[in-house]
Amino acid sequence: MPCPPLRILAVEPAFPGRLGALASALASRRGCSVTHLHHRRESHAGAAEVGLTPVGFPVGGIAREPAVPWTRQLERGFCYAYGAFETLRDQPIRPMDLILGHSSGLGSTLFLATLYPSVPILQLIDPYLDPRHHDLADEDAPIMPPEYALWRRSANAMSLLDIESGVVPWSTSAWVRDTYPSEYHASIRVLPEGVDLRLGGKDVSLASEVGGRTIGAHTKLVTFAARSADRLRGIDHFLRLAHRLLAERSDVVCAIVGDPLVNRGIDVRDLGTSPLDRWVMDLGLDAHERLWRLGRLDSAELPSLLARSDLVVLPGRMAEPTRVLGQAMALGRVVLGWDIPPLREWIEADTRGLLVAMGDLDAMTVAALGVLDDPAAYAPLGTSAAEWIRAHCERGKCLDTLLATLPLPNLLRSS
Amino acid sequence: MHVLFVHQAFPAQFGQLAVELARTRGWRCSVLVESMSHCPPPSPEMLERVEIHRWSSPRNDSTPLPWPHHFGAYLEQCQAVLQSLRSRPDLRPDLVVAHGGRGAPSAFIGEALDCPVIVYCEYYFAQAHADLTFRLDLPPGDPEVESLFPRCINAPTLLALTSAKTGYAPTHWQKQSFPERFQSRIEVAFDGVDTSLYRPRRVTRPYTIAGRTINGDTRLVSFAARGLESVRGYDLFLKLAARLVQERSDLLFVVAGADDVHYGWDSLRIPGRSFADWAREQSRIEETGLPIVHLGHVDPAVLADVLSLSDLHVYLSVPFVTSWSLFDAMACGAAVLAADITPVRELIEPGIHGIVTPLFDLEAQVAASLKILDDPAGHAALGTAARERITSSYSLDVCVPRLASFFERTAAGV
Repeated sequence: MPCPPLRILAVEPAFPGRLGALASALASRRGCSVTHLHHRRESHAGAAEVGLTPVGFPVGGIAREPAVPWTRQLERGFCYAYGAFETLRDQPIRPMDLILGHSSGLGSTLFLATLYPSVPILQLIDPYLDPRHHDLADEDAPIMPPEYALWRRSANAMSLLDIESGVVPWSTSAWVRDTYPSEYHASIRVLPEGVDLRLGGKDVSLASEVGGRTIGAHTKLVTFAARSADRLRGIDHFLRLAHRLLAERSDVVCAIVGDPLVNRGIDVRDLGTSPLDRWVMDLGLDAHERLWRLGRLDSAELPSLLARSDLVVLPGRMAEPTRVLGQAMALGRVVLGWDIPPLREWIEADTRGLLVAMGDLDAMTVAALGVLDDPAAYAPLGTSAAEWIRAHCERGKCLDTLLATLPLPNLLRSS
Repeated sequence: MHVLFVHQAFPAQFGQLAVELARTRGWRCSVLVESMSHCPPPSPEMLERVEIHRWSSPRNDSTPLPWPHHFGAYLEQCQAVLQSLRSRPDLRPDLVVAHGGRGAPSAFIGEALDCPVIVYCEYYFAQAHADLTFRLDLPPGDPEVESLFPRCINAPTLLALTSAKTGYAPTHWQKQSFPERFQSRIEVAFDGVDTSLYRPRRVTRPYTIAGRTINGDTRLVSFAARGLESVRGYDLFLKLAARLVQERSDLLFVVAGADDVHYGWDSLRIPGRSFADWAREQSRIEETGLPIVHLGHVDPAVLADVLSLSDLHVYLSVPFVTSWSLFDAMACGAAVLAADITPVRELIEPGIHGIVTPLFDLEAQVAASLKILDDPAGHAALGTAARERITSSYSLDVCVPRLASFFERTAAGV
């Protein structure tokens, strides 16, 4: 008798958000029936929505306002959680076997257990914000008003309420787990969401052009890619590196992929602005023909660009790595990043990539030039990286592991 | 040793403790509070021995906030406490002891002070079918609020807990209300009953209270709670009283407490009037001429008199924060009839320190009450054992040294 498809509800503020790709994989690879409930649709939904049924939810109250005082951040989250609750209360989606949640600093599943009391909720958690450390806080806290640290302390309330509401807390990174107070570590499951090898395997073609520009056969392509080309992902570091590499070698092209508009709530300095142009101008790179600002690429273009890259640089600050890292490693690219715990979970230095001391731009430059000077010598790093991804992070295996951890009926688990 | 206690109100949980630590240990005890309480009010000794500092409420009006605003208001209070600490460079204690609940804003103390912070873990609300949501027997208020608010109410408590070095809860029951992950960080240490005040007082009859005379042959049944609300079972007490008065004509019911609601959904269930008023109407106490006296908030000495005079003290709370009134009644040697709930069982071994009956079993409550009222002398041993239980385990003499030791260890980083 065929297994019934697993019925899944993914809930988060934006679509496709963090869960879209995973939910889409569950739909396309496991035959699951997946509804993605969200408030806002991001402009780049693209392939991540394949196989999903998107359903929007409205928000009311303070969540309708473009900006709210930091003291009312949790209230805004309640509005999101209530919007999801209200939509499902009025238009029930039943039956349901599993709920995936992600609050993204707002709210998602907080009230759903009242509607689905027996359905397990797997909640993807965000890093616990230290008042003065991690992500952008090391640099911003000393120069921001005192309320900055208070806001960061209080912004953890939604994560704590989520976890205490009976969900299965899940992180894709041990580093994220370890940002939480120690009392929470044992309950947080750390499991990778997996890398889609269809976007990172042998079938991916090498890009010969991107964004209307031709990539020459002898061009050395150094790539920065992230959802947003912002400080969290280290675009400022990358620009300084690019400045040096472009001066050092005439065959280098530095490509920047990512939305120049900063839309991360934790980036309070640059939120809602596009500082990339200013930084490029400050370095005198605004007219440089070998610095390519490509904006966002669609989900087919990015793998081709990564596959063609001689070096993929991840100069981000202390944060959960971008998915680009897994993709680049799966494609056998040489990756170069800061030697920080979140990257060490993926990159064993000098075996699966290159790590240099955080903030040491000289060391990063030397490492990058080494790869560009002698690609063959560094190719084994890419090969090892690809093997490691296949062995540990193949999405299908990760999905199986993830589902196996949940209290689902066996019949459904194997669907 | 300089301890700074932080709370919304004074004296609340910390006033008497601060006095004892100052008096017996010579510690400098300061409090940082928003307001002075009237239930109970601070004693002259508290005002004399304890340094009282005030933080100003960022809110000027007392209009109740909708529940989604509570956390924002709490953060504004936390910020006010922080500003207050920053404006007093002389206030640099060795240890902070702060209430960790919604009304006691302690989450940002670590931004101003680098000493250890102990959080007072009074209670962690359950998401359903407990404490605030236990009274399924009452008219429903707003079912959505009742199901959603408990999922949000603990945000301040969680923030305070994760910001503090350690914590303590007054009873095991209250400790166990917290998520298991935190329990190893929470000690159990009761605040301490002033057994020199709450003791079997030799109150002679006739005794006049609120214009009613208690003669030698009057059987006095008492009930006490800060607010006469559903979680404390005021309505259940009235039902019991209405039944008992049908059986005996010598009863006088004395209620200490105000028509306030401090917890739960009573104002949603009974809009436009107090729960206590509604409960009195439901029990038809005016029509039936129920012999009952409502004292409102009373001075602790008056309460001690009433409890000492009681032939029976009734405690019909839902499972929630264990009321001081129960400790006080036991300390006064009253025979207690209590709801058979876990927090009560922590204090009362049935038949030894009091009588317990199921919370909603009126017939059992009537039967047990009548048994005691029929033969108070025959049940005096209950009060004696209750008094002994309090003096041996919950008195200031026992509790303050424990708390002092805990504070010293924490301040020393042990």
